[in-house]
Amino acid sequence: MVEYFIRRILLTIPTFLGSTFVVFLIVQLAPGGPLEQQIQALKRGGEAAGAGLVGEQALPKDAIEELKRFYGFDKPIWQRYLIWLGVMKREAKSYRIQPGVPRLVGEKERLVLVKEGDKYVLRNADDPAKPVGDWKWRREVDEETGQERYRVYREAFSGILTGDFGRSYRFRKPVLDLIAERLPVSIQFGIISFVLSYAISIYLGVQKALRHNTPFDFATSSAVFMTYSIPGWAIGAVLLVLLATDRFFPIFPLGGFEDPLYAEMNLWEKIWDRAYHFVLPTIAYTAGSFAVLTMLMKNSLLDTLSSDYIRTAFAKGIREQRVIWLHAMRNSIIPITANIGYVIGVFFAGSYLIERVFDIQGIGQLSFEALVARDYPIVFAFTVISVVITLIGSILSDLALAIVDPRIRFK
Amino acid sequence: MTNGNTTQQPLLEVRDLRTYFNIEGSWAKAVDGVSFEVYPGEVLGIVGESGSGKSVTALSIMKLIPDPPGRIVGGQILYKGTDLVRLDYTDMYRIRGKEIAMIFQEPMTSLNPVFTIGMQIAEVLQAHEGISPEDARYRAADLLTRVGIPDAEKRLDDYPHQFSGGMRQRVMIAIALACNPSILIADEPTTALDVTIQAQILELMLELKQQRGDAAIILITHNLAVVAEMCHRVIVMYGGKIQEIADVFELFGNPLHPYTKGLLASIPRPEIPEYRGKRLVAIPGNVPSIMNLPKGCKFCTRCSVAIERCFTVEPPLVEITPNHFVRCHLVETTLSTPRILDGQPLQETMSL
Repeated sequence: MVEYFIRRILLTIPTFLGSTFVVFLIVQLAPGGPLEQQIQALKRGGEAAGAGLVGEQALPKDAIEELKRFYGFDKPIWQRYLIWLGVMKREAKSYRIQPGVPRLVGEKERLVLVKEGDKYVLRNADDPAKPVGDWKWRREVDEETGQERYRVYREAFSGILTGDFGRSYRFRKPVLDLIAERLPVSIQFGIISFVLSYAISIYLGVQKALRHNTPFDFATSSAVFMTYSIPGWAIGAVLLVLLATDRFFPIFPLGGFEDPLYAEMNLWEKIWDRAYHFVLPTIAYTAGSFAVLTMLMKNSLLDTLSSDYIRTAFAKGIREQRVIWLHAMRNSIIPITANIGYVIGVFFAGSYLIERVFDIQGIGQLSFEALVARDYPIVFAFTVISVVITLIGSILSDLALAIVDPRIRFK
Repeated sequence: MTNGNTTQQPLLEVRDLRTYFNIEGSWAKAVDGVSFEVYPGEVLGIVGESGSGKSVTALSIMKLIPDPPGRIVGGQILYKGTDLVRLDYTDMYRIRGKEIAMIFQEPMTSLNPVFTIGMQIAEVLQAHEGISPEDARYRAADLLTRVGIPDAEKRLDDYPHQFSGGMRQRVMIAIALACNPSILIADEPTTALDVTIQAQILELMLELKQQRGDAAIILITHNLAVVAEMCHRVIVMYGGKIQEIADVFELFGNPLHPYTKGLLASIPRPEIPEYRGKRLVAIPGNVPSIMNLPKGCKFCTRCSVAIERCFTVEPPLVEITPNHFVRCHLVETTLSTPRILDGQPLQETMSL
């Protein structure tokens, strides 16, 4: 069993590499990438392109250069991928330098490019005897002007495996900071929706199985399939109109995640405020998720209840409540647990549309806007998070399955 | 043995039991007017082909008929004077597993796959005897040893899938015998097992039976060899009705119902030279569907000696010789005041 999970965890490595590489490939090969945008901008505006004609679609020139360095667009795609992963060195720090003029690199270190004979050599500006470490220099030729430029740089391993997700172009902030800001909001919704949809689906499924073919069964089936067929954001919009606008019953807030005065509240007010803001979005998140789980639970329990070992339990004189909730449930829950990984993935990835409807600054909105704006570091970071959550989810599924089913546990 | 019948009080009396199943709006009479008694200390066999109503009879006694579609629509099941048919569910919990226990045909699926063997044995003890989990576990280990599972203490923590079919049936027997029930119903307990294991399981049941003289076993089977070996009395069922009841020696030595004769003729007898190399005698045709039983004698469609009357009038179950009951128009009673277990006595004597 331990061996199995070790193998299972090791298997996530190739899965992770494969799926991120595919996403990387698609995004990089898709037309309209940052480089093409720059070329277009240059064609339109010539020299002015860098300054004047930066429209909404094009990116600032220095951003493109940073991007170019970050992904190394001069290199083949597999190298770019390895650099992005952080298993191949890249130019981590890079500065322009003019020969003879000292340049501050890092906190205190100053470097200077001096001519010795007919060769340039990099020296420490303050103490020529001190070694320059792993700093290197190179010559560049500007494509338009033909001018020569010089650059000092240092190579390092820096990629997602070293925790470097790059900087967002739009927000001008490290991607990790942005995600750290947004993820808790989405995770709170994810956990609440996850727990809620499982709790309700399991209870409802059991009641439906016990009252199979009764009016209650038919009514709840219609209800869960109705909510299943309406998208969550549409339910959200209707709820807002009905329960948040002053047209009908203004009970809940129109949107947002917390009260503006949240920081000044005491604990109970905070909990109350959070709950108050959570009600409508949570309904929108979970409404569509009941149908599949509830029907799975119902059918699974019906199946189990007709099995031989349930008859045995009754023949032993065990009471009905115990037979249903202990003997039958432990078996019926098995197909439900197999679903956990998938459901986790869905909930924790956030939902752009629902976040949009309720004006929640979550990860769904962030990633969608990043896609539209071609904010590549965010898009990639989001891919990594989704892949990791899904992989963790599938391992959790297996673990949960092993807990409830001893036949799997001992294989 | 059976000679004590008349003097002893029966443990269980089934009177005119009718268990019907509602299938697509019409009632299938799976068990239709079955009456018999079970006496302390006896092993009562119920034989018949698949669909003859023997399992439904057993499940009716346990009140384990799935409703819907099934229902006990009439009759009485008197256990020590209490009518189980009218007993409410709370009281039935105290009978099941404690007074009347049952083991099933399919040992592979009769144990819950997600609980340990120990838990499944201890559970029945805790439910009926209110003992502590530690005591229940101790007694579970003892029971496992008694049903012949070595290293019982350790195996309590094993799951059913770690046991073979024969072992699982032993566990089922341990569960059934945990509370010392007065009646053990064994519904084809060896059908799913291979022959050597069959013999072991039957031997085990007899062995355990020996330890409690006043308990009874109802053994449901379609294996006549098992009946000959185990039973004191035999009920032959066909079409949801009892066709013949007799002492085991009487039944094998003097079978009277054409169906019983057919069943006995279909046993392979390689030890008798003139049967060797011959085709096995089989009862022609198939068991009619319980949705579509003949109006008269249930066996008339397959009976080689049926007369016209058999197709229109159902014969009563009449005592032919003392304690030997037969339901057939062609068998005449030798008694001056025969008992009739089911059906109306015929007005005119049949001439053969």
